[in-house]
Amino acid sequence: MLGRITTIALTVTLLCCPWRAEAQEFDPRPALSTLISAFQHCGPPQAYQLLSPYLFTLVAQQTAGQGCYAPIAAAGVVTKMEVIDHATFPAGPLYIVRVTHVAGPVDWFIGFDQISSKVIYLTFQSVTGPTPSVAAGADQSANLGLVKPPKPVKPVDEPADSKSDEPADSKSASCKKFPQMCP
Amino acid sequence: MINLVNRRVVLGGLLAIIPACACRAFSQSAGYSGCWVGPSRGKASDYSNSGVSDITGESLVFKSGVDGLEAALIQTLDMLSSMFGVLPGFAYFREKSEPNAKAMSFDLLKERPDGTVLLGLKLLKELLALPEHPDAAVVAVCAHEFAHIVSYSNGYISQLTPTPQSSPFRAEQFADYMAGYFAGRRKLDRPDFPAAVFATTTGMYGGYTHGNAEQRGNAVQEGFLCAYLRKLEPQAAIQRALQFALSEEVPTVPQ
Repeated sequence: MLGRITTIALTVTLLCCPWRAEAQEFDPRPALSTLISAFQHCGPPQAYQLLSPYLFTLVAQQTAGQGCYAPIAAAGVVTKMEVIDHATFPAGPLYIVRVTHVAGPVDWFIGFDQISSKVIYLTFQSVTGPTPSVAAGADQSANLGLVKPPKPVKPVDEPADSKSDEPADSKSASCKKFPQMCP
Repeated sequence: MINLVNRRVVLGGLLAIIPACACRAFSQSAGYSGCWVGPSRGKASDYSNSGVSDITGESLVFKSGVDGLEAALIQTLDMLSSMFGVLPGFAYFREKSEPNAKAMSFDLLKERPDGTVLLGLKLLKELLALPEHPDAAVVAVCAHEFAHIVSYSNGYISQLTPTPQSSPFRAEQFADYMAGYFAGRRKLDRPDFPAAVFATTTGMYGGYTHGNAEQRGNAVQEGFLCAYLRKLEPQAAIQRALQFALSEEVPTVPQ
């Protein structure tokens, strides 16, 4: 069904607050092309080295160690890849790439770690509505409920935005016990 | 257009990290035990002979059942992995008895040859019920367990618990110190990071083997200051954590 969305991996980029947008020089397409090919053909093994350790493991788990996804393979040969949006976050750059397969277009979200250059975020969704943007994030269903865009998913240890009932850190019970840890 | 199949089934949503270390740990202290540390170098065969083989009967699970947790936790575990320079496997497990978390030197998940961190679902539930920054409390436990993996990986465990009869206290102090270090680094990145929760969380689970609340909180705070004030790099912090732990007097067995 159109609109049905698939996610390959779930690592999350911070979809809030891009601090600069100057990633034009980096081209995400070679890496994405390599990965799509690997996901279609179950290899070669070195292609998966583009992934962060977590994504590598996730892909392995999701594919029972095979490294390939039937729906991606079914999409067929890639005929065109076009970067349609990007932004740079503290963790690294995030791109949206519209990939046209012989079966039709798909929008891929691919994020890179700015230090290691490994892929730390990867998901895709079918092209159904308005052109996606980094600001809007991936479609809600693209993350299968584990990520909830457009609200950014933060690392688990970051204070939530809306927990107004929680004490301010400097006034918390923990801070009273350990004031040196609450400068 | 592509007819894409809903792939919820294959999307395990797991975070099984990858490993690097050598030794084993599991806990058996009172209350939350965190992890019991044994001095022998990790082999799976040791495991079944170590008296902790019952944990193989504690079923591993790869989803917490907590909405959104995996997606968020995975980032934090990635940070821990990068900062500490280790790559353990990670999964949840169902405790048969008390809430617990474990760090083991061998690859329980059969994915990588090094080590594994397991977070008990009872413990997770308990932590998430805490009134103050429960998310940070979860990370505090994970950081502690990752620090054990560090001690296995670099061999410090043999200094921290030199004999099978050694108290795990110093290994626990090392792990608490490094958890505090992680909190300090996060505090540098995010001034509103609730670092003090690390100290209170570990203190909640004090006991003879792990140190009491004051000892545990102090170790966390020392690690925090190492990062936040002294701004030591991770490798230097690991050295400092070892020195700190070895300088701590092992509590005597309560009569």
